[in-house]
Amino acid sequence: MPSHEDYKELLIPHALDALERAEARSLEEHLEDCAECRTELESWRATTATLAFAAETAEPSAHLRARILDDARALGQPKANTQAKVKREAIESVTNHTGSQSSNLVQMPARRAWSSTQIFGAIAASLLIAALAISSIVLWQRNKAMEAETARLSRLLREREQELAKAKEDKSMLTAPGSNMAMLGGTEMAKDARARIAYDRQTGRAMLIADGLPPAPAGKAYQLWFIVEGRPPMPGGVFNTDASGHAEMRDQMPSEGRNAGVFAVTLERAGGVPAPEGKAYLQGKAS
Amino acid sequence: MARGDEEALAALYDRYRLILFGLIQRILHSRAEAEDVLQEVFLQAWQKAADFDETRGRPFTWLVTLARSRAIDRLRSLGARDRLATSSAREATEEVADAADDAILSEQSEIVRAALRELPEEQRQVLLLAYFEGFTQSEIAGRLGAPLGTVKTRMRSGMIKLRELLGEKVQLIR
Repeated sequence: MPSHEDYKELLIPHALDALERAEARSLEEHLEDCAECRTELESWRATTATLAFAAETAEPSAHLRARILDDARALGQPKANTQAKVKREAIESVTNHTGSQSSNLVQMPARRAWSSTQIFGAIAASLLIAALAISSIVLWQRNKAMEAETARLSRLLREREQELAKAKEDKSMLTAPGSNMAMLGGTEMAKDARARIAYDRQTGRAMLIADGLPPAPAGKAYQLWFIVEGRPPMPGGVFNTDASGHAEMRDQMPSEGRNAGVFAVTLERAGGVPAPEGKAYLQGKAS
Repeated sequence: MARGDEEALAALYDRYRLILFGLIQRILHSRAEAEDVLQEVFLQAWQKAADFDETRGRPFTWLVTLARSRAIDRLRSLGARDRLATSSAREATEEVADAADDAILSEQSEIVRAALRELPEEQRQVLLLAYFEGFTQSEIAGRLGAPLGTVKTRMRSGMIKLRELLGEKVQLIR
């Protein structure tokens, strides 16, 4: 249990917001009960505030002044603003955010191939960022332009929720016991390309994750094929890579294709073809 | 301002916008983001005006603290996951701005800058990294390759010395 001296040692770094989160929380709890420390913290904050002068002063755009005053006028006095409260509750009900306006934000991981751990990190970050976007809208809620902004963010949030649902589905598919995985290697057309396909023979849902594919030329795209022995290859979905050669695609296997022994990716006309015409870039066997 | 007086808000803006915007922009390195945050800060100040206890002193400390918090929050939310790497491009040990370079320097700025120039380099560095980059003590230790204990000592000594150097003049910073 930290002594009072221990807490006092934390005051200076806390005035600079340089404590780790856990330490800061612990100190905040102590501060609720200790006026002496609160006073001392306040005096250290007066000192840290002077550091602002180490930055060069700068003039914001001229229109900001009027905009701030207009928004303040529109907001009116906070306590009397029951309409604002009702709107805020309506907006909050659109999101499931945990209602935190605290500064403790989850860092958004850099976007790479979705590993299962990164999926959850990104989901949490997306929700928090969408929630934060919604919270800051509450400030300008009476402004008509901001109402449009709210609608846009609600739509964005629905899209995020859809992405989230898809990502969860992908994750469950990648880890479900009944799912299969096929590893594909690059052909001579793309020696460094590789891909894996997670698929479920029961539902036919499949997810392809590919890397190292050269970008498709204009008018062309990559296409996935499901190959069952003794039958012509069955067409799957069409996709393109991002700038880094990475691609992800959710697809539905045709019912006859669910027993595919081999998967392949060829380069075809954009929009896809019923039978493969282009060269194969990736291929591999089902596990 | 507790009376809901817009004139008071305007006066606050006129008085503090240069220092606040300079601070926020220094932290965010983006004019557009900084303007967003500046608006947030003044509107939040407006909404909390009723709570603000004027007997506790001038609003400068409160406003600056708020502005810095909001700016650091925005910095973190901008997905600055590689903050530790990319901020090496920005000189954390940069010289405190020379008076001759800044046309809008006031007496208050000069007091603070003179005091900062008198701090030992390693103490000033730690304070500036914490204040303008929003790093924690551990992050600073990692970035400098220094032991955590050393960073803590420098931070403490730096702040104590800064307070001494400013002395009574800190009352003038408003």
